[in-house]
Amino acid sequence: MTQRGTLDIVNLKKTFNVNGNTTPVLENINLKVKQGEFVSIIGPSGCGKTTLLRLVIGLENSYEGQILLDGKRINGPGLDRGVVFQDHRLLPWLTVERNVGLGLEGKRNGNGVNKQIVEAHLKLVGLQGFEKVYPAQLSGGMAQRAAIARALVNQPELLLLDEPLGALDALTRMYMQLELEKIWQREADVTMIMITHDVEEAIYLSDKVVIMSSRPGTIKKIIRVELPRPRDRASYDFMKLKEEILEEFQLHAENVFSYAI
Amino acid sequence: MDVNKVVLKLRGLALPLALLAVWWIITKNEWVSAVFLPPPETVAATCVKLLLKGKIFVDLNESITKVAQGFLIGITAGFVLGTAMGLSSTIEKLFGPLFNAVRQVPILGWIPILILIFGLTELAKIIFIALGAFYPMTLNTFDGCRQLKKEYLEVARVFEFNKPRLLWRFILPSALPSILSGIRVSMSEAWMLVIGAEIFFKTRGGLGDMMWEAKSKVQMDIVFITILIIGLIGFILNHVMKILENRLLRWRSSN
Repeated sequence: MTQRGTLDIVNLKKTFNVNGNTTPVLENINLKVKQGEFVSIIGPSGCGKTTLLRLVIGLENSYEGQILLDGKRINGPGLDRGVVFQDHRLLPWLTVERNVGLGLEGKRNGNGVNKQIVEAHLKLVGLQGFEKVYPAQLSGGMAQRAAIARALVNQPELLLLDEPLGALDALTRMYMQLELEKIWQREADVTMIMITHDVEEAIYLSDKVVIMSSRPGTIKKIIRVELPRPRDRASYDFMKLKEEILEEFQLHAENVFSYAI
Repeated sequence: MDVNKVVLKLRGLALPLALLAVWWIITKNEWVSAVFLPPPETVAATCVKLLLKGKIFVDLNESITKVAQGFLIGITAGFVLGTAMGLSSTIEKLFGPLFNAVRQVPILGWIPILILIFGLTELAKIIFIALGAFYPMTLNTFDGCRQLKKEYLEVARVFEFNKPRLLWRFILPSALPSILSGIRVSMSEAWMLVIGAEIFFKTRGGLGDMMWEAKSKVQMDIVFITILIIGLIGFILNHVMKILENRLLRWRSSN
């Protein structure tokens, strides 16, 4: 019996047909994610990380190998997975409250119950008081919080985040990383998988950082991050880990820790 | 109240007032015969007389009722066809070419056929007006239903929305701006056509009839008054639609 919120990817292969040619996008992907884990997938653009996430969401179909959620093969989207897109994708014609409640509409919980769930999630992301506001009136960071609340409202087993903070400015982004960590800690049994291209963000948030390389997209390395939380971005261990990951992309600076006297 | 704001609001009145002044100067100096261009004060006096007599309200009511009927039939049909074509490419392929071909026939071109089939009846007038409202409504609704971005469709898929909920929560709201401007265009189209209908279908009653009759009696002041009323009502209808649009599309503004 597998635990709720366990993702198993076994020998995954995905090809795209472009003008009659089959191009491999993902090859030989093997990944195990345990319940409650925070996993980041990082890699150069075009490495197929978004395709990988879209396969897990169920927006892309037809693949070879296995993608198993709690031992069951993923075929199409489902409410057991919540999704946060890079562009928040809140419906502009619905208030924040209604946007967050979108996933509950099909459930006959009775209005009161749904309202309470929405309220609780708005509180979780720090958006109380913004119930009746339209997305156009929110800042980028606030819109993304609402999107996170919307994705969590169905109590998904997996929360899938596709560069959720990618469109935010540097300061808002750091602040949102703190918030995301808090949310992850409060929703302890929700497994989170995040695509990012920000190495620091990946180390700050993740238990595991999956490094991908491109053409075809494969997993190059999986690095466990065992630093205590909350993590200090300026600490030696943090920096060392960052170097280690950057090295994978051949982006590391030589002798970062040398002294100039 | 801010003085600047008042000035800004009244800015639109400047040109009509200037025209009124020119009109007055022309008639005052008798540059044009009063038969063709009655002075403003005569028109105003006739207007008061007509309002007191009350028949004008009967005509007005007649025209508005006709417009309302034709307009409602036209936009309902347009909404249904536009939505159906917007949602299903099969329906679009089936009805699209015919619709686009028939659309090329000017509305006035339908008058002979309508008269031959329905005679000079109220029904003919209503169909005529409905036809005018139908085209812009269909086109705008169809366009609107195609507006939904792929990204939002993915959101609907992630939340496992079924077809009716997809329509209600995603497609129609995203089409709403387009649908509302369709309604607005249809409404002014219908209002313009009712005058034509009353003239061409030669039935008693209505502003068009009133205008035509005044024309045959060379009562230029009454012709003027009907023109003013027609313009004024068109303006009011347009304005009401704009207010409605702003209310329903509040979500688009960012303040």
